[in-house]
Amino acid sequence: MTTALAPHGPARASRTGRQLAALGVVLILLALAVVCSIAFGARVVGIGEILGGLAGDGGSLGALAVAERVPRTATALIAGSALGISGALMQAVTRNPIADPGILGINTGASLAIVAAIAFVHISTLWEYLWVALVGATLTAVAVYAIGSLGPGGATPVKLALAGVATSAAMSSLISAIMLPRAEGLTDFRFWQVGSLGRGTWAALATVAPFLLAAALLAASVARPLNSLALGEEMAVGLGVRVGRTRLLASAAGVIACATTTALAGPIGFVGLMVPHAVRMLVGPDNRWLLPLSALGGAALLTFADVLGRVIARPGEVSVGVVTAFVGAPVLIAIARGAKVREL
Amino acid sequence: MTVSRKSFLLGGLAVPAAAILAACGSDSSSGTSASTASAEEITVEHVFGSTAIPAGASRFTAIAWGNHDVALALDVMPAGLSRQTWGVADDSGMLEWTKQKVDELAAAGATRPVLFDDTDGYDYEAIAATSPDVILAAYSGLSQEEYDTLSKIAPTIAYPEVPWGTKWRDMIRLDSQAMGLASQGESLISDLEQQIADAVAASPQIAGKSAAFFYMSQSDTSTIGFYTTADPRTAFMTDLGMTIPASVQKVSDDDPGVFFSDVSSENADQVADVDVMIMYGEESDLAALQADPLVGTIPAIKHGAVAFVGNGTPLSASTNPGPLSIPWGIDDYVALIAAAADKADAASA
Repeated sequence: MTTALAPHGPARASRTGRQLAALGVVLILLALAVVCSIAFGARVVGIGEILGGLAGDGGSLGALAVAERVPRTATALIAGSALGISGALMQAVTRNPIADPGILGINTGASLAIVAAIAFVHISTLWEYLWVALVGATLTAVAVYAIGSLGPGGATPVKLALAGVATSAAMSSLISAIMLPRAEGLTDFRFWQVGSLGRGTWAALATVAPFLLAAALLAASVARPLNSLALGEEMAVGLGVRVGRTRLLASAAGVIACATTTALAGPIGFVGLMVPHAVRMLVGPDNRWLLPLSALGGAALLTFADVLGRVIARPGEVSVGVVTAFVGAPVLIAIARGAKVREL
Repeated sequence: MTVSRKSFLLGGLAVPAAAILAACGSDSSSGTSASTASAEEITVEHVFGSTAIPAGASRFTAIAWGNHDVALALDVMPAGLSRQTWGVADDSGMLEWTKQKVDELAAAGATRPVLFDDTDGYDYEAIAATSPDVILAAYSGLSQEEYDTLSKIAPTIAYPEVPWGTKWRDMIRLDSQAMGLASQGESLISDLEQQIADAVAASPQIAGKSAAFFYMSQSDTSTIGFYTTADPRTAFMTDLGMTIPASVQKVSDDDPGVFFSDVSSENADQVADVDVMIMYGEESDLAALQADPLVGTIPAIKHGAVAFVGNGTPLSASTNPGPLSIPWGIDDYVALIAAAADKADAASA
């Protein structure tokens, strides 16, 4: 009877098997995404050009295009994994199924900080974007949490999500207010409104790598205490978890991962929302599985989304942020409806 | 009510003699006086249908971009105009050539125009407060809804076919017809054509070269953007005696309803037929574009045959041609393009 009611299966042995199977599925998807990202783009290339491009032979434009797809794919993988981890962490910390850097307004906060800094103090390098994004994301996270905690009951999932959405809407208006009078002739501004992987280069990845590594290590360090926290605060304290410290470290990891991705690729929504849900269906709620698999799944999803954006608008491209919004919005609705039913 | 194109044009030409005399006379700068008012109803056609302008219209409010310059070039002070923020160095809200003419007419006694802030949508209340007889927006991107709202304030002239796709001659024709000054509009066009011809005569190397107006980001070189022939910026290349590259022409023909398009830089060879690229940005941006493995394969980029017109400078704003910006910037603009054409010639020599 219990087995029938719990679709994920209660037995420890079968769960581990299931988790390994899920890992296999995600790895296969990831490999497929990488192959697609190298093989398909705005330009149709032959197998010879693909091999030539990978071998560094710049003989034809097709081969050059393939060579350029390599750092772009790496950017998609890294940005996607950061978004996946960030979403999983925020869902765990807030115990909120619709938490996501986008829903909580964190990447809008990072974008607003960057747009304001471009407009008013003329920052231009990725290094500057990074620090500005971190400040913007952190302030937004604190503000959203503070607003969501007002009133009786503290920071409930619904209040946090509402605070995030409202803050995000307000900040989007501010971005528009800053951008509109300056829009024409300034492509850099457009970039911060729509996420794009087009500026992914090895140099850019090298710049953000230390930050993402730090976020990943922080995330790994809190995976186990987060599991205890999921049982409820009192239970976690009873199990010896330092609740405040765990929440702080997990939030910091989520904010760093999200801010860094925003500095690299602009605001990209919904990846952090969708991936942990899909992964949770496969492996259950254990953060020691959920976090790494969300990273791999996020990498696969963002890479697929980028490939889709490159092939649907030939000879042009659609920015990946637009693609993830198209795919993610219906998923958000489905999850939100599901969450409501569960609460009832 | 439908009016045939022929009768509409004839109607436009039949401008009352009084108005012509007034505009040619020495007291023409008295601006919004009744001297510019037409004696009979005029009908102007545009994308949302035809607008009837009652006899006696003399207060003109211009919105969007460049329409106010048509009125000013015809020595009529607009009652109001949209504040310009791009390409304006001071806080006047007007581009240099607009400000010069406004100052000139104001010195002659005309009332200074009200400036509207339309960065976040049109300020209907402020527009209505200027109590216009006609709203000029022949070059604009009005939506049906915006047009309907404006039409409740006063008869409004929208763009002919494509949003933000009105050529400078059409902008002058439509706006001047609506002002009852159609024939003065035609003389203005001939005068501007002569000024362009004089400027081009000094730079014979640009003749016959293919050119289009491009739009690219140095930090994200994954796409190559360009204005189609629907846009006045690219269309102006033919006024300079240059040709539109087949690549840009094809995109323009395939989708005549858009003024801007782009290709992925993976398809950089699709714009390889451009001899000279005109682009927002600074000369210092060229190195980054040349260093890009894909964008750098475009011959014009490789040869440095790129005319960078600046970014947010008055000259960059003047590349969107209008009746006052052409006289203001045409010599400098042609000189920049000629320098780029020299580089294209040097590479092919």
